[in-house]
Amino acid sequence: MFKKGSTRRNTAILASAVAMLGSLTFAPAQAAQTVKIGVLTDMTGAFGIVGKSNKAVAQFTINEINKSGGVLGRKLVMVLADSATDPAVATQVASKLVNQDKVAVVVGGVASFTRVAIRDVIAKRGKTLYIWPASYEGNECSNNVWNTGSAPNQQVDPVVKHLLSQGKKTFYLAGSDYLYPRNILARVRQVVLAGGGSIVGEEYVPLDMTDPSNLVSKVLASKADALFEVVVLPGTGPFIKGVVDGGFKGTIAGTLFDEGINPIIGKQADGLIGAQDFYLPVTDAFTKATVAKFNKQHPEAAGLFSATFNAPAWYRSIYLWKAAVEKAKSFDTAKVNKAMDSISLKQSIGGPVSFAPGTKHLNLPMYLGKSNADGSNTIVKSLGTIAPYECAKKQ
Amino acid sequence: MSPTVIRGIFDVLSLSSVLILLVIGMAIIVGMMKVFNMCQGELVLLGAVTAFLCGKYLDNLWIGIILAPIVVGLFGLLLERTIIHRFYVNPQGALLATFAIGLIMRESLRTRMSTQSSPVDAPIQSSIDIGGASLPIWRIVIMVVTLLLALAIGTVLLKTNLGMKVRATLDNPDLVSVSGISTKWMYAGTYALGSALSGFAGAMIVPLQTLYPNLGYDNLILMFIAVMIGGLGQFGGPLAGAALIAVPGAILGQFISPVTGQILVVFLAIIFMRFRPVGIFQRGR
Amino acid sequence: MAGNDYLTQIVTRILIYGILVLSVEMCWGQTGIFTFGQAALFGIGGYVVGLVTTKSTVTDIGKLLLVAVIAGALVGLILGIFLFSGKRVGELYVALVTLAISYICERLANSWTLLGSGNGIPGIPYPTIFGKEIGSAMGLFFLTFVVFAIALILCIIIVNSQFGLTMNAVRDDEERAEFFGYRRSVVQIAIFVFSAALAASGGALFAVSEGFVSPSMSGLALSTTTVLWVVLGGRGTFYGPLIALTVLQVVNIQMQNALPSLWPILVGFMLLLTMIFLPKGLTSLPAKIRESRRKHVQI
Repeated sequence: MFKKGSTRRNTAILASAVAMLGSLTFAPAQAAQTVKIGVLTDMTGAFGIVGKSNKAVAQFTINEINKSGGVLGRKLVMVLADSATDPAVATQVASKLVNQDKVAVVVGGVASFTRVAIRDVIAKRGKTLYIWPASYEGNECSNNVWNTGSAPNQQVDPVVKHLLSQGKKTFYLAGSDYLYPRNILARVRQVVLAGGGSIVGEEYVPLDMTDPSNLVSKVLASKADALFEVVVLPGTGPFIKGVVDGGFKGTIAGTLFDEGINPIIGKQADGLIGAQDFYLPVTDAFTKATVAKFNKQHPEAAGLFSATFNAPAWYRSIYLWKAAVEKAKSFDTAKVNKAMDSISLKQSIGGPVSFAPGTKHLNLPMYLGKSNADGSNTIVKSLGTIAPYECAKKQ
Repeated sequence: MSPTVIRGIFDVLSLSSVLILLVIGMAIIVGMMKVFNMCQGELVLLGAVTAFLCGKYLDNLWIGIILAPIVVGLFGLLLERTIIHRFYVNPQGALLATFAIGLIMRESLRTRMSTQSSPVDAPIQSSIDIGGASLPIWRIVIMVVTLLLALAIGTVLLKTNLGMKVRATLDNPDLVSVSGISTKWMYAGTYALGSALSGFAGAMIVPLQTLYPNLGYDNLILMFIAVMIGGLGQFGGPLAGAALIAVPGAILGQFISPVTGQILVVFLAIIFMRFRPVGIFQRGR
Repeated sequence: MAGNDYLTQIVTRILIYGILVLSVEMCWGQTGIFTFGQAALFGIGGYVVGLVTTKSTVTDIGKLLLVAVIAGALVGLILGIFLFSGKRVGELYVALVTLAISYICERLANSWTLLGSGNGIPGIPYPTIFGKEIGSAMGLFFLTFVVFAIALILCIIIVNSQFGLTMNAVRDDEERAEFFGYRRSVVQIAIFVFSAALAASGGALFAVSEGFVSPSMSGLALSTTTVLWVVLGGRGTFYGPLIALTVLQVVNIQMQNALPSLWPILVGFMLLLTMIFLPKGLTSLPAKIRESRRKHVQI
């Protein structure tokens, strides 16, 4: 048990271990004229590619703001934290951002399981503002938390209505087995049934499923007019390939199709339907100019500015926070929180955005898009600004 | 027969043949050599990577499929001569050391891949219509290849001189070395063969799934359980084991959720293994 | 350092993993049962607490720990009887079964909606003791420290007792121990149950101090990392693996800020090199150096 070795040696080892622990308290000093922003995302792990995009967009936005004078005269400093697509790691780095680096706001999280893990650490126990910049399944109404990605009704309703208007009556629902797909498909079900359509099947597969054959066969057997799928990476490609190559005659729709994901699916991406707050062909001058500037300044993230990688949401998140701080004339969380509810941006990626009061979500300019075999996306039609049905305004 | 039934039967055959193909390499290394090779999945992965690179840079996946076993076989040879041979008398050590090797390989790939999954197109992408069901030709190719390969390796091991020498060496190395056969190179060659076969499997199946770092690891447990059900000590056992898990799993997956099916099969497998009198699990080799 | 919640939380987490390390050391280091499944029991403890606290109003830490320990012990008992009663099975079969159990648990946690599937169970409330809420990082640290200390003392007592010698006998040679008349099955099952209960209590503490449980906590990754700590630290002692755990966790966190993608690769190399050159773990390094020096002196 405790070896009769030298007690001195054991004490030495223990002492150095404690010293190493102490090394963790070292945090670089904050210059008085700067403000720290916590950027938390998955730089490694299954969603690492999204993290790469997030980091570049955050850096780009912060640089842009600093060049025009910063926020309330102070320059922004980015503190990056990698949540490694693991909620246990996410809580640890979130705690570091809030308790040690003492950031003014945390922007981040890619997957919903990350968000729910770090939400309490940041917003409740940490009493710090938390901005969630991702399209997701809705129902996030916690105090100090603000959502800048699209809510289910914004991504689902237009698509389902479009399919119904094209004469599609029977729908098959498929998704990965966790909160996001389940809630999205629940919304799909709601809208389909309300519009007179019917659901001929609903199936969930594990996140690490290696072979989708069984699911593909079920979809084919259903002979549905439309498949609404929320099977996430890495299963997206093989599943859609299997369904298309298997001779599926219906239309495939989802919430995660755009220039970022199309190449990962391959040429079977042709004809996929979805709605996002941004596609590359969006024509307004501000969007075009900003995206061009981004590609120039961040060649390492070339091609990663897309809606499914949450790029537009990240960009607008930091600007929305800036606007709220300027309105509140303070960085204090409580004051900024109060100011956020009525903030709007006249210019942003995809068009102007504003918080719908009481909902903690944004009124977003949405677009109906169709994927192409070469990886690009066409805009079928511009849907205008859609209000979110969240929190106070549940429908 | 309705197209749905045809598809159902096809799925069972396809899923089973994929698992059997994956297990062939493991049948040699874990089944016959009794090395608890936790990096077998990564050997599959290496084959998949080779195929992917050939597809990307040479635009020819067939070359990748031929190159994969060669590349992975040589890699296996290197592994055996530097690391694996130290652990023949230490199964626990083998387990941990090979786990470490697998970890290094898997995570190294993860850092090199900019996107976390890359699709690979099969060399033959069309489907054939049988009775109203559209069946991917590449899956049929895999079924045929698996059958031929299993028969070929089995024949070599059981009916040829070389096969006899390999089996003798693994059974009783001391006696064999006295008869002038270099046991060192026998072991190395066998491990290389097992690696090559896994590499080949990886190249063949990557078009069905997609290239991602956990490709090997996600399949590993099922592969191990197949080998253990089938019994260590011979080549055919693990393959039978693979069929034994894959077939019920695939059939179940059509009626209940695939996850539940898999869990159920693994569960039954464990219980089954407990009561099967397999001498190989006794301590003190 | 007071008021630095971040540091307190790190130490708390190290203590929790420390309990997991104790459970593996008791099982493997002292009794020779090579288990890959401690994370499964860690997860069971955590999920039980998660379910109880979110579906009912129970938050008393005493009750929560009790429930987790009972759940863990039960699972340990069933598994133990299955594995160790009757005929001997080799340690590799045990390793593989525990591996498979870990796999099944992770799969179940990921797909069962009751368990929150991929999201796990978030929003676990603070624990209470005698009605008062333990809501601060310091409070949670003290709670964990107390449980850890009790666990460590228990382990030391057991190992130093007559029963401990029997455990070691079983570890060193199962067959011979049986010939000598020791009831191998009883020893193995008893220790397996004890380890399971330990691991489950660790999981319970994780749930209340982190505020959430997720499938990754019962997965293969944690199981193998725990084995790594014991291998690196050296089987057969408690302080070795505990120090390895502390050092590695600290390095891990530093690396996460600097070179996140390189860390798992480094871990792999450490494990590999240890297995090849220092199979008895880092604590045997000083002895080895002494030995090689002695060899040089010999003429």
